[in-house]
Amino acid sequence: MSESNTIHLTLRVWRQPNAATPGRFETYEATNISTEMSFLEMLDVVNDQLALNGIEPIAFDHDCREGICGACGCVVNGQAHGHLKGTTLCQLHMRHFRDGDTLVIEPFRAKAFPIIKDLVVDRSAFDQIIQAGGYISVKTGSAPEASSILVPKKNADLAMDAAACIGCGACVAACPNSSAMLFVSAKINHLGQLPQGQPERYRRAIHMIEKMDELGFGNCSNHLECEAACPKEIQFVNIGRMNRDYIIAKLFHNEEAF
Amino acid sequence: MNLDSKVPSGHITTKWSNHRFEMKLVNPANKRKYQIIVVGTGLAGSSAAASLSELGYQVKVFTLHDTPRRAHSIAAQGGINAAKNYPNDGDSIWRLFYDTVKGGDYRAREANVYRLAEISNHIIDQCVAQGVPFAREYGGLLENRSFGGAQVSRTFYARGQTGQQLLLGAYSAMMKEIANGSVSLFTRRELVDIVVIDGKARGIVVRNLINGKFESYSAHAVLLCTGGYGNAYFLSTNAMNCNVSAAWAAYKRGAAFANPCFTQIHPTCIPVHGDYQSKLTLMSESLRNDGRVWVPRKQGDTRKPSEIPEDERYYFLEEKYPSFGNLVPRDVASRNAKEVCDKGLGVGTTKLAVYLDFSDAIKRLGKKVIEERYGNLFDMYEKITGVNPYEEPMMIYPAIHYTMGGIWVDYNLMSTLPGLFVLGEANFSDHGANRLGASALMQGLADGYFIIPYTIGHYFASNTFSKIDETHLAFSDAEKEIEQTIQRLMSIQGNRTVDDFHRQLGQIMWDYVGMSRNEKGLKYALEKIPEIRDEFWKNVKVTGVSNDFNQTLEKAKRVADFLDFAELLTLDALERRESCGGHFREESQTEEGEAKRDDENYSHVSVWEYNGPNLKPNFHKEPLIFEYVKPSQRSYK
Amino acid sequence: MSLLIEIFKTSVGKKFYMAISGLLLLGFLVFHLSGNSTLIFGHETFAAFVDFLAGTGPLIYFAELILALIFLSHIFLGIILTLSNWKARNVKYSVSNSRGGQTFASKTMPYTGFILLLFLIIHLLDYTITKYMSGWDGWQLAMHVSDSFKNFARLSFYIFAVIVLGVHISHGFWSLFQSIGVTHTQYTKMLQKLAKVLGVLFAIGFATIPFIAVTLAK
Ligand SMILES: Cc1cc2nc3c(=O)[nH]c(=O)nc-3n(C[C@H](O)[C@H](O)[C@H](O)COP(=O)(O)OP(=O)(O)OC[C@H]3O[C@@H](n4cnc5c(N)ncnc54)[C@H](O)[C@@H]3O)c2cc1C
Ligand code: HEM
Ligand code: FES
Repeated sequence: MSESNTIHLTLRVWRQPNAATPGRFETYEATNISTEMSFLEMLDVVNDQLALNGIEPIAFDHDCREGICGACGCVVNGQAHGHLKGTTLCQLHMRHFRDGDTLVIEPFRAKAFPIIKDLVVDRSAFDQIIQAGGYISVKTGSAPEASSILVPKKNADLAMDAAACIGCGACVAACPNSSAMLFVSAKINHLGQLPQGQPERYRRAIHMIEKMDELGFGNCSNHLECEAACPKEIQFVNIGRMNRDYIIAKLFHNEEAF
Repeated sequence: MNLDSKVPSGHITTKWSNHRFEMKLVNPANKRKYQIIVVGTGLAGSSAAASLSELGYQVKVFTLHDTPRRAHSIAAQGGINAAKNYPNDGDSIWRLFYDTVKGGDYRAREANVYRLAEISNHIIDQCVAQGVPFAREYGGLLENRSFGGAQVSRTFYARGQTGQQLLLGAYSAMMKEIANGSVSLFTRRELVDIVVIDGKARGIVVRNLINGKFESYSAHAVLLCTGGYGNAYFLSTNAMNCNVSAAWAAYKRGAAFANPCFTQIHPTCIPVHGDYQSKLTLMSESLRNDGRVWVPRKQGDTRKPSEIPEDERYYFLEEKYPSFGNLVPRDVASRNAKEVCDKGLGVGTTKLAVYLDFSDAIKRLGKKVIEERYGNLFDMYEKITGVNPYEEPMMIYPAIHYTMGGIWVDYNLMSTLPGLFVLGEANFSDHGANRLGASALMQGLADGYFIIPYTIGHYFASNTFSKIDETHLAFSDAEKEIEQTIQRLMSIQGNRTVDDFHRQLGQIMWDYVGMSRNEKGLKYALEKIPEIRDEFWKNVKVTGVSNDFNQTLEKAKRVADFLDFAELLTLDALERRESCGGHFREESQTEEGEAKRDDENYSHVSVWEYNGPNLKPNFHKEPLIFEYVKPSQRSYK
Repeated sequence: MSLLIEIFKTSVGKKFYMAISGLLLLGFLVFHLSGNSTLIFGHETFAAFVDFLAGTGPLIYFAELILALIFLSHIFLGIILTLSNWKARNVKYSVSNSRGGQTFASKTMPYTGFILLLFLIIHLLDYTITKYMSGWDGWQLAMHVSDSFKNFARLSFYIFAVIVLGVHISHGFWSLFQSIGVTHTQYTKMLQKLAKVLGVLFAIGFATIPFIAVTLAK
């Protein structure tokens, strides 16, 4: 382990009992924080203190704590998942903060992500977008022999780049427009890069995009904040490719059959 | 207790196909009259829900997460096995079967394992068709690698995120069915009880985690796909929400628990760095291909690793196991790391770590090659520890990783509670006493995609069901019961946090029921666990209110169940006086200190039946008979 | 036709129109700038050019109608998009910190757009409308142009507006390609640079016109 130190921080944390009740910031001191801790472990320590003082701990979503499940995430000093590039909140360690820092901790904010409690938001809109077409329709048992589908390595790699999305919602949180384009385009491109994804490619783009709009996400102004905030560093070119698919779909594949 | 494994007769290679033919079918038009509850949306749950819905059943899916895609399957890194033999290196269904039985140290049911190997190839077909972006070669064909010490390259992988990609495949298949209207999804719902009516599992009670309300759902069958219980040890590589509560509820309602003491410890995890540590992170096993494991020969050597000369370094795996060296199986590597640390040779601030050194590999192959092979792992290590492993050796230590034990199921995946099927890591799986790398993903998907769709039809077609719904008294009774438990938890208002108890339990489990177990220690644990539990019920502090989003309460309920369950795990470990796979009893070792199996007395599945609160459970055995693979002692010298 | 309207309904479709209209507006600006540049050769050339345009009769009315439609759709969609973006972030962050994705230009698109709208109205009133109302010919317009820029306030406002235009273009030019799906990991980076260059060029180009006009008047 690297040299460990302890630091003291001041936290200004958004507390909100539920969506219907207005929230506010509360100030807590985080004392004796080891620099080896992860951000979430720091919150654990603060929460233990709160609990022992009879104050309800800060609610926050988390699960794997290794940056893959996509459950964690809030906005620290105005940046989704904190300031470290390509890093989820659970993988952000306290050695990246300085003694005496004040951290303002807010939930992801978007109309499409209503607050459940404190830092916990409802991201089920993402599931609804996937339901609208983020799949390849193949019934169990009907798949052909795996090696009968050839996928150029380049496409497999590009598909994997896009498929690395963990669905955390940081792109929406970071986008000044609360747009979900990076998330949606990652899924559309993951499947769109692969031969298996071709039959439904255009239909998928139309349906997913329409669903995304319906759920109240914003539009893309190409600020590229999403790419900068994405813990998996999904690239903005995915959005361009999605736009292309959509326009081609609408202009040339707009069959009645949809 | 009737432990009929229902393994079909006939030669092992034809058992499954014969069985599929012999099982009764449900008429397509009737399928939609059957309702199925699936709890858990990991690989097992999602694949089952999608496949059953495709057949026409009405499926309700529950997960405690905010979305199905968060299930812990998402974290699996390494890969998934299949007997495709694409590399032409001598693999076959039979070899995968053989390796799995042997790897499991002859404590799994042969017929199940054979079926698993047989199905493995279909899984790959299915996943590829769904768009899982497996690694490819330039020719466009699928790439394979050798994993976890296997002699053949049979592992399919998607970078270091195989579990994620497979789960997203199964998740999207399920999402498609939700869109079709035949799967209903219930997120942020935690199973708290299983409802049994006329001797059959007919529904569940869940707690809505957003508003704390209890909700009842009825069905014709319940599928438990709720993952493993590694978090009984507090620190493990499992996600924070992994729990035993669902399985424990099933156990208390009559589903027997099998081999709870079979837990797997993974040798290469990032060591504990302080009391506040909340979980451990796995570093891929593949690191041992090029890294050399060592500790200083001298106790309390505080020099920097680079300052310790070659002859003062103890490469303990290479010295003890000249032919396998650093690549010995997981359990052997783990145990040896513990042994040297117990001798006081450990490194790092806690002295509970060993070096995994890449300097020789970097000298030999160049930094670039190492970067290509392990770049992302090195980055991850640096992110967590702040140490650059290109310059300083990594520090690693074993950690709880997987649980082979689980709810006992027969060949049809049905537990001893009729109508309750258990899939994935939650069942006492096909991995015997030790799971091979890349086999859990295979098993979860085999259960969900290709086994349950057949066997559940047979269950429906061969049983009659009374007409019931959620208004049945059994549901309100169950709700009342759980309400009482919750109120009890809320009313204690003591002065220790839930985590504090969990940590204390974990320490006992790790010290006495961990990598190496002995009678004295196990008995001590059996004394300690009830003590902790008693104090928990007197002195735990649960803040907030119960009819609200309350994560402390969620945790408290799970820890309460772990406290009950830990005793069963320990009891099982005590009962099995042999060493096998991940279960190492110090009393049963060879002269060289290696695990010694006792086939004469312990070639069985240990099955525990609930007997009521605070009563010793009944113990049963399901004998294991090996007709096709003759048990032999493992040796890695 | 119904198809084209249908595209309008989605976010991606709106941005598609935004991009196409922006591109057409850029095309117009090139034409406009080259027209104005005739001032370099003196009032006569400029007047001749103006008269030539007026002489095309129905053609110029048609072109102006199309141009107006393009402007109106760009403006209309710009407003709709901006409002829906604001609505999507219903609660603001108390602290917000860019991670380096946003640029000054991208952040200010709605505001630069709004200033351009104001400028457009004033500009139309100043010249286009006045010319029609007064029934001026090219020469009279040329004189009016030169005269008008002697007013320092107007001159500064024009300079300010064309800088704003440059800023708008410095994001808009690359953004439009992304919006219509012409995107690439490397080439888009080049477009981003090119957009900045174009922004500067347009700003300088348009900014020189008033100075030429004023110089000519002396
Ligand atoms: C770090 C790590 C790496 C791994 N790498 C590999 C690998 O490379 N190859 C391999 O083969 N295996 C690997 N494994 C093992 C493998 O990932 C798991 O065994 C497997 O994914 C388990 O899948 P599952 O569907 O049974 O359960 P899970 O994926 O754990 O899903 C459990 C589901 O049940 C739900 N649930 C749990 N309790 C409740 C409750 N009380 N109420 C409601 N819902 C509940 C959860 O929300 C979740 O949806 C790895 C494991 C870990 C920890
Ligand atoms: C001649 C003048 C103009 C030119 C050349 C121009 C050009 C462009 C271009 C190329 C874009 C980028 C489109 C895209 O991202 O796809 C754009 C965006 C925009 N324009 Fe203009 N524009 C002009 C005038 C205006 C006016 C008058 C307004 C007033 C409302 C306006 C408002 C906007 C807005 C709000 C956007 C951003 C839309 C978004 O990304 O959400 N523009 N413009
Ligand atoms: S907790 Fe899973 S990504 Fe952070």
